[in-house]
Amino acid sequence: MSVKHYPSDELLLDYASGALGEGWSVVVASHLALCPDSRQRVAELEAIGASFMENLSPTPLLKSSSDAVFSGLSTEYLAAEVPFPSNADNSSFIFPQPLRSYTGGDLDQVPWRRIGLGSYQALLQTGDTNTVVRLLKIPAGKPVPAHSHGGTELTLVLCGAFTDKTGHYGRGDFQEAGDELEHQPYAVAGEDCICLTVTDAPLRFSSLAARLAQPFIGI
Amino acid sequence: MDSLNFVEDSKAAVDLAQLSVAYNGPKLRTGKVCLSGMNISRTVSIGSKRHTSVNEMDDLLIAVAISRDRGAFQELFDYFAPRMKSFLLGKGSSVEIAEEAVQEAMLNVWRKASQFNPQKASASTWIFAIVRNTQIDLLRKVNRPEPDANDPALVPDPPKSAFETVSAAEASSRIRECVDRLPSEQQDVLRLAFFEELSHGAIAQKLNIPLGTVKSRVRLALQRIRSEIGDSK
Repeated sequence: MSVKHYPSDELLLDYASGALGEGWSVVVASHLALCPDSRQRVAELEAIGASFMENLSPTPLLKSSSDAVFSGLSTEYLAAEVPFPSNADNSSFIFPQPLRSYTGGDLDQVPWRRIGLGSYQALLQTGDTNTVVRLLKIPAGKPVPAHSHGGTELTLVLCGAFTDKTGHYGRGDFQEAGDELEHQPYAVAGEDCICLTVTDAPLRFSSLAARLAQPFIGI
Repeated sequence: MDSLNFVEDSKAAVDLAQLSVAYNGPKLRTGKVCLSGMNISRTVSIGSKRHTSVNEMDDLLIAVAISRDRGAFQELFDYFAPRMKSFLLGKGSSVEIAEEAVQEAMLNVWRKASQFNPQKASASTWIFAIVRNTQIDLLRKVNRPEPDANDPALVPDPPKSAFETVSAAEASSRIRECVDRLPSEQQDVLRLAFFEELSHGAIAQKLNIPLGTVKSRVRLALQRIRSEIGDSK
């Protein structure tokens, strides 16, 4: 398994600078857990941020601030790091962190709700009211209704795979869809496709029937 | 850091602990740090624009992690805290807020030093991330989702080949030199991103240029930087 579809440089820049909102960041950070290459990219961007900070001429701190820091240094040694888990444990969770901290558990504990066409969703609560973060389960071999996007949609595959006209997306793969993309993703046969998605606007379904159902299924 | 010989990236935290046990030489002190027999004389002059060795800040942070070395922490504080303050003031914080955030960030450096892994990041990059997160936490009071290095579901970094000899500290130093040489319009979009925490969309609005232009400047800048550090992917 290796990731083939990565977040754009601009999106990783927004994550590294701290500008990216929490909803988007949940999906980006969950991708980072599954993708060493993207983690490397973020590390490079953070090094760029660090170079800007280091190049600034220093502004002296108030003495009261320095005193507060040095009197606050505890002398105890930090608790030993949790021993690094062996690679054999890699398969024990489907959901990486930070996703599990939002779902409160792994895939088997998701409270799925039916949304029609055999698909299910579960909404995640974040502190970010500008976005909707959801888990989607698309049955193996079945399509998501064709749709375009009023805004941006980020998708991370956690299980199974989907294909659309832009390619094949498996575990760890990341799709960034802007309002220009109209696509009809299909879950690949053999395994249900579980995705983590975040959107900032409702999807626009191409078919009338799907549009009529939209208010009722909350997508 | 080459002489530390970490077995594997992902085990660095454990190796650091072993190092502190195996290390029987003179106690780690500021002034001269000895790690695995490597002597590094440090010539940090406080307030100087650039420190002289790419690894010395790493060594100071490791001394804080392993031996809770207050002298090493003092040197890190003297170098980074006034730059953090400038950074936060540049982002529009008031003096009071900037002072508070610097205090909290430096305390986080002390508390979290054992999580520093010199194979993943240079000390300055790691400290930059601490400042950023402290600011998000303290000033914006929102959650920042991040991967967890100890998560069993995390896909570990591939082992480094024997030919990949560039340390994180060296890569970081090359990145800094390369940023300094970027064309000004490429530097500007990166600087706005880090100083004003503008998303690439907001940068386009601020500079009054198309979004596509911001994207292409970001990509050109990063391509150049990656080729400089030999990241060809």
